[in-house]
Amino acid sequence: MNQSKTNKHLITAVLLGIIFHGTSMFFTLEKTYDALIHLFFANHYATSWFEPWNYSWYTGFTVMGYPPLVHQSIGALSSIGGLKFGLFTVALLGIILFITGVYRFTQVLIPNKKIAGFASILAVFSSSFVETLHIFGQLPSIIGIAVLMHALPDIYLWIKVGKHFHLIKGLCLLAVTVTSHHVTPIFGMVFFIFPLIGMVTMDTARERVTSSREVTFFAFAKALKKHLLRIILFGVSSLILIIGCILPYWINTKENPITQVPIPHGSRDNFLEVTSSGLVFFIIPWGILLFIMPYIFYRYYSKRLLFFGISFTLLFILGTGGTTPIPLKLLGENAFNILTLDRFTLWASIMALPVFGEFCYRFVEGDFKKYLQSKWGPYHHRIIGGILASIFIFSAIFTITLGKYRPSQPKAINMLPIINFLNEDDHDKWRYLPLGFGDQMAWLSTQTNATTVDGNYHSARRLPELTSRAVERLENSKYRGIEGIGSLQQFLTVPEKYHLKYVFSNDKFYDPLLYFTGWHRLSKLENGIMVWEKAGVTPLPTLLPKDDIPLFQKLLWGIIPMLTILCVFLIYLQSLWSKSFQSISKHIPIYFRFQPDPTKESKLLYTSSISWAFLIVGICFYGLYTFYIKNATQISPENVVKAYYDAMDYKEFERAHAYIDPTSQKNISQFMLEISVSDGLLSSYAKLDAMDITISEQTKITAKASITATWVTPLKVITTSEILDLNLIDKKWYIKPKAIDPDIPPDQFFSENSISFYNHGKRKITSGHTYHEDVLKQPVVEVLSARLLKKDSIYVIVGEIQNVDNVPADISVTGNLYTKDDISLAQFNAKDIIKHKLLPKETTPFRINFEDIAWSKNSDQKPTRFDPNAFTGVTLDEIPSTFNLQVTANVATTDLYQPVGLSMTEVSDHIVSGTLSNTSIQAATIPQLLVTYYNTTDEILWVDATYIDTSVRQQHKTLFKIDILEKAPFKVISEGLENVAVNGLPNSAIASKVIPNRKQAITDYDKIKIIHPQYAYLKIKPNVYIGNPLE
Amino acid sequence: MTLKKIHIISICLALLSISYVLVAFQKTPEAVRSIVSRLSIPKGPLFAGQEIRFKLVSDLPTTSSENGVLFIHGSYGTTLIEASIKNEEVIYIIPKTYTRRAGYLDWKHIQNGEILDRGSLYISSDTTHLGTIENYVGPRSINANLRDYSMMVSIPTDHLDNMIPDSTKVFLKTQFRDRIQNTKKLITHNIAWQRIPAPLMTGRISTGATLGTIASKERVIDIFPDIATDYTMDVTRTHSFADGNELMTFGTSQIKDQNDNIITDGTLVTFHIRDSNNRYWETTGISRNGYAFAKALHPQIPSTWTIKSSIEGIAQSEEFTITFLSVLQEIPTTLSEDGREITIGPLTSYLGQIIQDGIDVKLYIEESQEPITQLSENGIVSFSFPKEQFPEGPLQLGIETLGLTKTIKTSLN
Repeated sequence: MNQSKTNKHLITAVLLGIIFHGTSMFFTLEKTYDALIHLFFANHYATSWFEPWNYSWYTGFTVMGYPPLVHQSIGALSSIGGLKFGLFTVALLGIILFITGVYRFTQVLIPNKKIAGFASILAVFSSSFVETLHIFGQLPSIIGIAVLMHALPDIYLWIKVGKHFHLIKGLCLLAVTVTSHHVTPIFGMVFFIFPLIGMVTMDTARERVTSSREVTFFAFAKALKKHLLRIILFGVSSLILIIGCILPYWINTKENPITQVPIPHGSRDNFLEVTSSGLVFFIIPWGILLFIMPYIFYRYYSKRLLFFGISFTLLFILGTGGTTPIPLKLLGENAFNILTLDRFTLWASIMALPVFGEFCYRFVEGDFKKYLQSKWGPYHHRIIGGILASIFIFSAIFTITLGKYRPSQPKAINMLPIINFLNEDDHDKWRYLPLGFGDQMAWLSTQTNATTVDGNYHSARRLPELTSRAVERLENSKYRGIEGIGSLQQFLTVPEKYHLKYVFSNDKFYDPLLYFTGWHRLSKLENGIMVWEKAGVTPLPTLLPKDDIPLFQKLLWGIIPMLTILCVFLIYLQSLWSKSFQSISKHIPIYFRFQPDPTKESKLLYTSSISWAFLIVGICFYGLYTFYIKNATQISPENVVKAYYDAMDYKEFERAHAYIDPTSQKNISQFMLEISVSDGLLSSYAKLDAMDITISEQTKITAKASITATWVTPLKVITTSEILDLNLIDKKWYIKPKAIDPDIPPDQFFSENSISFYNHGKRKITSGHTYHEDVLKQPVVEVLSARLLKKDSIYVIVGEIQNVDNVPADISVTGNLYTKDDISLAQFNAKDIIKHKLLPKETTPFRINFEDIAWSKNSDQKPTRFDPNAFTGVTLDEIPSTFNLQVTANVATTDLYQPVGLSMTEVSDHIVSGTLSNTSIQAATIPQLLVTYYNTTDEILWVDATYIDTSVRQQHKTLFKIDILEKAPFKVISEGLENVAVNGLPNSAIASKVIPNRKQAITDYDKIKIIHPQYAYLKIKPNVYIGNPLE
Repeated sequence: MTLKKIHIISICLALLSISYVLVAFQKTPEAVRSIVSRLSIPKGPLFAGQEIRFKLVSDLPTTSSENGVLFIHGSYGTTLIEASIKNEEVIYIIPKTYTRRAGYLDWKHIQNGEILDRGSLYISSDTTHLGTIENYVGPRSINANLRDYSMMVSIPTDHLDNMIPDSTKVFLKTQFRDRIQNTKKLITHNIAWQRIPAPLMTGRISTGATLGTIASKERVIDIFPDIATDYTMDVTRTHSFADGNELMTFGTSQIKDQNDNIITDGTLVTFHIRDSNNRYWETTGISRNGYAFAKALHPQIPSTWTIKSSIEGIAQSEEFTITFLSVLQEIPTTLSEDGREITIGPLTSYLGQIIQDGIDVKLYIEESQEPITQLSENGIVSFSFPKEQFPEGPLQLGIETLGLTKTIKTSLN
């Protein structure tokens, strides 16, 4: 009658789980990777339950790419207390389901209520569960596996006993699993249900013989034959369920196959090489289980659990990602690159819980206790127990707080100012793009009607610009090197294609890129987010296209998931009802007949377990030691240089100062002052990519380090090389500081007049359309020359444009290539090789590169190094023979200030050098030099752009050097201004009307003569990004 | 008993015959009776907003529902109207949405699919109750020259937003400085329009239109100056020495177009400078009230500058020449005893004062092409030649600063 009592362990586990997870999730869940995405989907169902099309992301996508149950549940609950209430309620349900799931699953595997109780307590603090919930936020995954575990006892009983009630109950639970997570039941079939079937068969075979030794292959086959019909019935019906319950998902997958190129994921790394991935995807989820690996394998390779042993081994190996080549071979290239492999480790660690529970039981009350106490005495037994428990609890606490120490997300952004901005004055009629928001972008999308081109569920993408790139989101593209920045550049260069007008920048890294692609700052919102705007982008049409699907699919999708929950409830009510009339003994399920054999004392197991534990401890200490040697900052010359660069890269200047020679008398205040006056692309917008340190002339107390470092910026890659002198003082290496620039500006105090512009926009305060009289005339600009060239193998359009109007202009230039039969071949905008904002009568050169969507073909070789300048030239089917050019001008009011001028420019063999001097009152943060090359007859041959790495402060100067291009094969395909239009009007009409008698000689005065076989002159025009404009 | 084919066939036949009987004895519909009816068409001129109704004169009792429908098609759209009965009269009332629109209204009287009568009415706009005048002007800014012009278009409407019939008189008015023009225009094709040639002075043209008691909103045209004409420039500087640490200002005369209008604020003016060694400088200024100023740093090398200013492709200044004098006659140098350190300086400026920090000092070792450059601090720069890099022996050094050069031989010990 032991079983009739309430299982105290289970009650303890559930209460502990609710207290531990229920409290902490309020601090962790919203900062996880996935929780906000689920919230976004939930919001979709809350607002339109039966309509699967969502316009918010990726210019529209279908939510049928993800099973809906969890999202629908949150959505349904949101009507009671809001979306977040829904999220936390579902998470709490998930926690309870998981703990009870482990309890039921353990009972089947190791039919002992005490052990199951132990396992359920362990499940509460299992580091893989903690990680999945509190770091990854994978709610559907957790609910999927939890419900699957609940289904296993019923599946066992159906196959063993054959009662239809069990089949129906098992299938109902399986349906809930299917509708909450699609991957779990598919792999759950393989890794959980197949071994379970094996175990049932084994049990049947065991029943027919007297000892487990007699269970031979033949006996097993006989047992299998007996159950075959039930197994097939179960298999077929579960297959029908998997397909039927989320039929629209499968139809959608078939009709819109995932074209996304694989996106790198840490779980596919080699954990020995990328130790951070090893920590997150191996060490943390396994945690203390690593210590008892021999026991787990020993138990799972016992005869009854043999099939679980095989499954566990497979899961363990698959979870190791790219550390060994086996997962790649097992899964095949395709599946390997689509699946995130961390789920295998999650399942393996969950599968290990029953055995872990048994281990703890034996350790606390069973034979292990006896063995250890007899060998080492009770005191040591308790100490070991204490240590194991501490490690176990510590790893749970460490995991739950990981997000605090190594934040995976930018700081929480107050979305309200952004929401207000989007709601104001119809700003939500255009698309927006958040930059540097992390997964919080999903939370922004949840709260606004405005749509974005980006999104946070990459399997649902449709734009080839995104699917062809291994970029998670545009929003964090800086972490994805060329593919990220390249993809982002494409959107920023041709924003009118996507009706993209606003960018919310939470990371100033992207600001220079925005400026040079023609965007301008609107204002800084209260939450510190900078709003960037692009002029001349048309609003979204009122009706947006969508992929409509048949009504029956919409109904299936909206009804079935909730129906599965209803079925489960009814069945449980029924079974509670019927149980209340039965005698208690009938409750005991049949698998309790297969209690584990009375444990035999196995010396081999004990010794191997203990030696394994020692081995793991040894590896841990070795790992910590190497970590220390590699990371102790001042232990060697290399380390101090590395640490110094690291500190500078992360802008931890106080730490960087700690590595400066204390005898050099550079105190922190002087050091910080020097830092504060340095600005520019290299010091403010660069991320250290790689560095190479060579130590030379090392003596006992001095050394020289020559460092070559590459820095990634949004505009180009910068390679720096410098030599640092190092000193050893008190067994610590220090860096000798470098001399500072002694240049003194001429004036202490000075003034400047400037012209500023302001555009009211709407003069009347109305949310209606802007009045006719408030719409400004588009400024008149004139294209002075335009030529279609073929240089090397790429086609470009180069030319010059002058703003001939009396108001400042913001220009965007679109080029089209045509065949001789006037068939359009390609279209693109001038990206950064142009000055977008022009004062009245100002001229800019431009170059249009015809870019294609990079690596759209699988055969394309992807570069391994980051190069923001690289672009994929468009592949043209035919040879272009003519072009047309469309220039759109809008009134500009900002970014017109010109702080720098050229000075001392001289020409030597291959180089034009000089200084840029700033005589103004604003610091020139990032100067760009637009260089135009001409031939002897004053025709443009090429336009190029160079960025200067350092800023030019007020009344200071900086050196520049331009390498003159080498001679290259060159062909003029077409030239002339016949097919050039400005604001939709022919350029020729403008040219003859505004400046009928253009004085060419005046234009020529700024040409610098060079000696070159191809080029005769060049012209240099500065274009400056001012990071902190004065108001 | 087994079911045989014959049974099935007989059941089918029975069912067929029953259904035939049912269909055959159904009541036949009454034959369509023809109706002699006539519509009384509204007479006289019709104005927008006025009620329009058709009356049916018919032999049939007025209660009959078979009066047919009136199909109408006007500038608002197309619809069908059912008859209504008022005071025992059958009438068709045209909805207000149709009668408020001026223009043709086609109608057809249809009964049982047969068109009994058809016709067309013309609804005129209600000129007794005028509404507003929509006035459009463009381009909104033009240049003060003979080539440029703008255009005003007026669209007067009645109170129901219908356009006024052609040949109605509209007064188009413009004001520029102290001249007000009032032009009478007749509406043609529903609009009245006028070209406004650009005056040769900058300013603003205000426009408006009136018709009877109604008036348009004000629309304005900005007159910007025409392109600039050539101008002069000058240079302001505090001294004429090449000390590399003083700013000078380039300024233009007031830049105007050919009609003496001052060019717009914000126009970009570039100053191009070449020195006697063909080095190039470029600095920009933006105009304010026609004047543009730009600054440049004094050179460190005595030279003569030729400056020219321009507005690209449009206007320019005469060339302007200035000369910078040397601040120093010779470079002072000191060698250390072992010959391994050379100190250059103190470099002094034109009053004998120590030159401001940041002067370039270049050192050429032997015949090397690439010099080592250092910047002066307190007028002094020093270079050292450590033993590791420079073995003992003689060494020739070339020094270049402030436009001066000096060659020194040292022997390293």
